[in-house]
Amino acid sequence: MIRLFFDWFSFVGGCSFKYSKNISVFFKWTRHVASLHVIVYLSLLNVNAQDTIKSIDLGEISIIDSSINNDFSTKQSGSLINRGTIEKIESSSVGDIAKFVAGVTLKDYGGIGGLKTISVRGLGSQNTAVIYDGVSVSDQASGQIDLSKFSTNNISQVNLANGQKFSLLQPARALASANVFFIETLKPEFDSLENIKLAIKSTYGSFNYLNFGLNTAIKLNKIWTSCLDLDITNTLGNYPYTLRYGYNDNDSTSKERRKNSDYFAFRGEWNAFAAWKNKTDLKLKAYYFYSDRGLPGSTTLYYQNSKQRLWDESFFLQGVFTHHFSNKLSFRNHSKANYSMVHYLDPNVFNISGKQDDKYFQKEYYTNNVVMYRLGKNFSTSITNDLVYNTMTSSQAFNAMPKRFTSLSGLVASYNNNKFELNANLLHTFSSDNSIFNTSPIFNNHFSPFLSIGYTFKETLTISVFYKDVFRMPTFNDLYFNIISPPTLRPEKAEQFNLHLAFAKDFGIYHSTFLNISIDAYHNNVKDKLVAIPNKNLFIWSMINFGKIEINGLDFQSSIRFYLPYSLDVTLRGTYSLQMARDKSDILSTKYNNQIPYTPLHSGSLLLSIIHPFAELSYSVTFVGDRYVLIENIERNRLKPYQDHTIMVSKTFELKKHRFNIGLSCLNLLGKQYEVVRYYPMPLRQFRINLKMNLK
Amino acid sequence: MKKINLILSVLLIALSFGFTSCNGDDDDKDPITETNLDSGLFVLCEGNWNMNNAALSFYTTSKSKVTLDLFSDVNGQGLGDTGNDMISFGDNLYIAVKESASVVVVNRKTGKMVKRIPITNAQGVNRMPSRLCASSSMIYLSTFDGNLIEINPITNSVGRVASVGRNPEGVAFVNNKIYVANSGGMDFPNYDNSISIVDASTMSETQKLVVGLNPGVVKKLDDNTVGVYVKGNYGDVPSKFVTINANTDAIDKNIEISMMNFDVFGDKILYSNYLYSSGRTVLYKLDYKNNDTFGTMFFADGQPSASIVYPYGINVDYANNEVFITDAKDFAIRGEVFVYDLGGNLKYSFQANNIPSVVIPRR
Repeated sequence: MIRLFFDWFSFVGGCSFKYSKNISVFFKWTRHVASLHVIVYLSLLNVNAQDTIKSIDLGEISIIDSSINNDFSTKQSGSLINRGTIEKIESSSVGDIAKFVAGVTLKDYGGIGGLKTISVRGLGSQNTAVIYDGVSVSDQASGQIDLSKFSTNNISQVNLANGQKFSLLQPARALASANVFFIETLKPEFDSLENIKLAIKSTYGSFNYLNFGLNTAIKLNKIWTSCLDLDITNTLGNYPYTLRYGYNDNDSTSKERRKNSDYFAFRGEWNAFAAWKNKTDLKLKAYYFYSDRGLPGSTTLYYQNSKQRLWDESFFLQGVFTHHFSNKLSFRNHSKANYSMVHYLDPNVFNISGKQDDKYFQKEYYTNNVVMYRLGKNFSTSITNDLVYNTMTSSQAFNAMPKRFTSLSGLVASYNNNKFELNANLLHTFSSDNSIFNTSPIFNNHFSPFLSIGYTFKETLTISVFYKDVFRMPTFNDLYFNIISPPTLRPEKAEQFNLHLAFAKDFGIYHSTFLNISIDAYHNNVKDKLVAIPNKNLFIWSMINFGKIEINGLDFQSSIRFYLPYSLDVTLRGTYSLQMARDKSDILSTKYNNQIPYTPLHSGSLLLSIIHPFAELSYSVTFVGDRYVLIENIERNRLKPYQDHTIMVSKTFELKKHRFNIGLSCLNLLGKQYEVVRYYPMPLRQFRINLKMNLK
Repeated sequence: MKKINLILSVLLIALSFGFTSCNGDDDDKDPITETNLDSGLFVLCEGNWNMNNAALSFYTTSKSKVTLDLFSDVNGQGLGDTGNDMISFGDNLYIAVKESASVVVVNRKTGKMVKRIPITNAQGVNRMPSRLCASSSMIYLSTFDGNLIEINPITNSVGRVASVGRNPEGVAFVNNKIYVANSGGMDFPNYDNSISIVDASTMSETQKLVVGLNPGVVKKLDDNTVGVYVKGNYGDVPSKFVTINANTDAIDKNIEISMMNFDVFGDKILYSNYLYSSGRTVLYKLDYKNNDTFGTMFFADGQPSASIVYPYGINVDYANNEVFITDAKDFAIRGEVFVYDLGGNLKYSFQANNIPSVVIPRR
């Protein structure tokens, strides 16, 4: 209890001194949100004065996006985590959810502000496209997307498609990567009596973790719906850890506290949905993200005094417009304009100015047009084209000012009679790179095919195979902004082969006992793999062509839901991945046939949830086996296996027709010290309390 | 607005819950084995940046056996992050560990740590220890923050500090002066071009001698000569080998040449180079005194080495007929040390830890 009070006082103290800025921003925004609401309410009263604002729906703002759920074929290799499951996992960002997807390896630099990227099936994180509400999130500088930027407060589902999703109306970028990670936000559904929803979530936890989320939706008229979503996160992140001074078990240790690990982030998102007569619909999004964080750096032995800071800001506008001309002909456009800024500061650098203070600006203009035509009852085809223009400038001395124009064109064909399904496409990539270092543009042309065939027996057992060829351009950082990288980087090429078996059955013993099992066996071949190693700091990476990698693996996932006496509704979900990702570049080297760095041979997760009318309980575990931090699989490079257990209890109740949910959770329940990245310790046991309110 | 007030007050109530974290981990116990080392070779392995894997390997000649991390085995703790340089003085080895802000003093007989000398400034910021050299009575350390630091080998404590140029690297003690190469590497491409000459008795810089863009390695060639490898800018300004007359402090020879590293080889120098075109390693003996411009092949067969992947360090023990070439391989895996005789015949080789750089024999 004394420690409890101590933390509270340190928080108050922190507010008044060091964090006064963040807090004032926080309250400013709260005020802003409040005033926005008043405007919204007033306008509603004017427009729909006859409707009293009331609602029957007591749940979360519910989500049914037909375009997503319906086209996730059972013949598709991949994984889907829906809102129900997301709510059972205590998460601060989508990164925490990704751990529960088979085949995913999460790289986590620790703490709330630590970079969280995913690599799928032994391929680098740049090989996974991240698609946010239909349009890809791109970062031409690093090529990888930090999933810690995406809060789970407004996420309806995440979905990993190995290879790609079997969809005819999607952008070419969704066909261009080895894997696609889809993030879908909540889309409100209104019943006839309501036209406004307001949901608020606030969380407070160890190390002064604070999250406040607000989600509101208004049905403006029969066509338009508008949604506003705001999210604020703040933490000191000064968690304790044990520093180990060597690799041997009896080497000395000391108790330390993470320093310079504070994090503040604000995300504001506005979504508008319009639908005209089931024929035409439009989704618009304006998105703003800002963060300010300390970079604690790796825990260097005998000296830790990082003062590095990172600010990043991004703003984008995107739209998805769909029109069905007839039953046979459909058209969709995805467009986006994106601006992002990253500001890195290290005040202790021994150069003339005494610091490294760099800003990087990126812009992207993106448009996609896709036309789908149904040739027969089961046979459809589509043509999709993406045009992308990227620029990057920096305040650095070597400002190469790269510009890249990319055109991706895909010809897609699909045959599906429910039992048998065939999906095929040919993708053409054209890119033209220019920078002040190039005398003439550098062109790249590549054709990459995809083919998948699947068959379902008696609506329960599915077997499918796919082949995919992938081509990945080096990023701007790889080519132009690296001090240490070799100047001659080659593009990365990969081939994927996959065998997918799925079994789904509704036994109906106690109404709706449901069992779902899928097993995937795959083989990936990578040539000239580009591998990022953090260099100098977390922000600047150095790249190497790793040579040849061969990856053989298995993904297993299953879920079962059943009912027990005393009104217990039980769901058990498990994943297991085997990844044999071996270096095959040089038979004479000591690294030959060694498992590549940071790729566990064994990993998996378990999620148990028990729902009772009185309260809900969920228990989740992720486990990751041995990993090696460098390519040589020797004891010195080995990172020990870990398990991370989280327990959460929550209770829902009503008060004056408002619905409240209070949840308590304990993360890293066993309190064991572990590292995902060497010398970036993860927090020990943490507690969180959260309160959700659905108001009317 | 009432709703909003309700929300805010509930939120504030939620805020007033404080939580703390518990931790639990095993405690340490550490029996240090104290056995005297046999004769052999100390190898400083730089290690990978941010990996805390700098190591001191030891090769026992009589048993042809390597202890890959002697320091950690004996002391129950790692050397630290980025072992930049190592010299031998009296009974001890002095190791500059750059990211760990320390100079580690290690007993040559046992491998036991004598002292870890913190190298930080008044604000507690890491000065970044760079290279070491010694006079008959004093240790000198260049630090990346632009200084030369005196370390008293009797007390193993930091003494006077002389301000030099930007990001100093190589240092050499000749004729009661310390020659410090100011690289200016942190301001790439705006490198420094000078050698700071520091008077050992007053411990202050007396002159900045311009030698060319980006000076790196500095070694004492003989009692009156300093050798400097000037790296250039890897572009239009070529690299060169420069000698300085330590009596007049004027530049003597200026030989346009490119190399990885060099060491004194009798009255010549031995330098290594990595041929990027063929991926091969070559070593040449350069007779700089007689205006040699390229040198003669070191290896006995007159061919580039077939086994050295990436030559990193060179240490010549002329009196004992041994040349040590360290191979950093691809920098991510363990390296190797190749031992040749002065005639360029391979005697033996052994594995060391990541990025081996300096070899010091223990006879």
